[in-house]
Amino acid sequence: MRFTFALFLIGFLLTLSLNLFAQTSGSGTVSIQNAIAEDKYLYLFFYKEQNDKTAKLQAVFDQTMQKLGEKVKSAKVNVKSASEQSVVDQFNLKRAPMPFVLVLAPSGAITGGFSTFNEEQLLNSQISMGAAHALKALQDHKLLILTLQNSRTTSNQEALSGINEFKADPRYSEATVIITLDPSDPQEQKFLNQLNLDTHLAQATTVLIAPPAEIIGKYQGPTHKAQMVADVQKAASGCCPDGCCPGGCCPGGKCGK
Amino acid sequence: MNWNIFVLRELFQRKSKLITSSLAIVLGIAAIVSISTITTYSEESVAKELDALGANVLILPPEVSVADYYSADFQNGELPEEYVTLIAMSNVEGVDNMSPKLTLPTDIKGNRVILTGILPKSEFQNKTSWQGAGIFSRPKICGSAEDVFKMNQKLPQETLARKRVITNLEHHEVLVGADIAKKLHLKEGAEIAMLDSPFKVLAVLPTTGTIDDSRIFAHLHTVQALTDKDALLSAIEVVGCCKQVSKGLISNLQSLLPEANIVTIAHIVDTQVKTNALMRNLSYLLLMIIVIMGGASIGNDMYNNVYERRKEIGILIALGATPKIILKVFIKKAALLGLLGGISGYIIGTVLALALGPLIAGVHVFPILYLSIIAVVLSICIAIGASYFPARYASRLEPSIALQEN
Repeated sequence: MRFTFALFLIGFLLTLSLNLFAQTSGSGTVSIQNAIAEDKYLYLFFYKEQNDKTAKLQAVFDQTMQKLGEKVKSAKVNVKSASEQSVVDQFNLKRAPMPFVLVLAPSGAITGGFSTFNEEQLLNSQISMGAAHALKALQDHKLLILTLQNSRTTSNQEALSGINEFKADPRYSEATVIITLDPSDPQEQKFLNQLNLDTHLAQATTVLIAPPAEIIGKYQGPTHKAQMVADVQKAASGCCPDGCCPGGCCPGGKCGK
Repeated sequence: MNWNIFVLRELFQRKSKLITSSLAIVLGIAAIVSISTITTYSEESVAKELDALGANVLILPPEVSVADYYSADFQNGELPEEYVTLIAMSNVEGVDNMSPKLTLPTDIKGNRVILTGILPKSEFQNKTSWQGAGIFSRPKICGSAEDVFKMNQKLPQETLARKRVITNLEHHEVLVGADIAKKLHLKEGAEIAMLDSPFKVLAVLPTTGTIDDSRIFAHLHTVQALTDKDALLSAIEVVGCCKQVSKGLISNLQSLLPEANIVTIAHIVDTQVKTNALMRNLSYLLLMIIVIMGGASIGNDMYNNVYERRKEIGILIALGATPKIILKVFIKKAALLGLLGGISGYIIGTVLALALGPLIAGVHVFPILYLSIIAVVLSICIAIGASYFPARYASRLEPSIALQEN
């Protein structure tokens, strides 16, 4: 009898705590945890009030989610709800235009943020594994070293030696992420084309990408730490790519000279 | 015979002649020096103004003009903060940085201060990459690379004073303008109370000579919360890449935010820039006039001088002076005339500039030494150039003919 009562009590407390967790965490937080656990893309629809704009975009969102079916997870988040504050704060969306859709890859990268959108844009937010990992690194404010090599490319080891030396330096190790991709991988063709990188490579190629997504160095074949450091330094001291910023790069603020 | 003393005597023997012959060149040089001095300081003032403003594009509420923003510093119109997200996530080319602000008057210990809420860059820069993989193919001119390893890290007061952008700012930290810090005896680490809330002074900003010296900068969201202006802004200052400003940045921002008033800082300094350009063109015109008029005046006087002195020239040649010596005498005289004209012109021009600078361009000017070298070289060149043919004529005089003439 006592044992049955104890079991009942434990069950009751467990249900209560789960309910409390769901209430305090909100649908947004729970959905993120579920999507990560199931290795799926997550589409979050944030809204503040029910008006014509919200209704119209919600219809597009629902239609797209129906099309994607079980392949993705989705949730609707009312930014005014107290239980959703943690997810709203996590993405700093309190002051964003509403409604707003955020797409999260299983890697945790945000692969899409839209205040106005159509079905195509939502579908295109699912990107390749390489692109998602690259995006995650850049969104975490890290330097991305993207190295392209396969069995057909030469200087593979020489390309890695400079990269490893750079990564081994304690000044750069924590804020550097290395991603190796096969340039002939059909899944990554779109990503590599977006970066304007040749996919028919004879030599291993290494690209340095700084946040938000600026290519700051590109090397064919062997890499050298000194060259990489110099490129990082140059990018850090620059401002506008046209070399001219008011109060910054131009002497005396005389721009356009 | 010492030919240099000979030239000096010849020059100063008739002082009125010396003054009249060099008058055109003195006045011309004086005009060029004064215009150049005023223009140089006026351009410096414009550059400083732009430098101090930092941003070169302003996004304002529709009812607020750029003059309102800079003269009153705060106004009634407001913008929604969601514009920041829209700009950060857009593909508009040439936005290097931006600084959303909410400005309000407040009181500290009975002193009226301008409180400006500013949003640190760290709170919106991540939204740039919410375009997903599209960010990898966006044009290169959409902004600059992040300093991942903090190689070029500057103090917050430096970045705010210089570029009007701040990377990080805690919710109860403030940056204090130089003037207000002096007035309220505030130093780094001091505690102050504003809007019934405590703040810690993170740093005192360096003097900029602008309205910023009288401001206190706090975190935008703190200022919004304390003043019941949730998610509202007074303006967004945008640091646009210069070339993109003239290549469609403004129209692209206007398309993105059709309800906002988007203006460039160029509007503020437009009149001054036009005045400077006009003065610069005027100095070129004067240069042409001085070459023609000054040269003609000196050349004419030199011809008259040669004609009047032809007997003396004949005697000199008869006594053994070679044509080269005669040529040298006149060229030296011209050079000396040019030197005196250049120096006098520079002095008069500089005095004029010191007196007229504040009146014409509203700037305080100081003598520019390198202009004295330009003035003297220019004056000597014109004098020698204009005197060469009369001098050559003098050197080729036939003594027998010159002495026979009455």
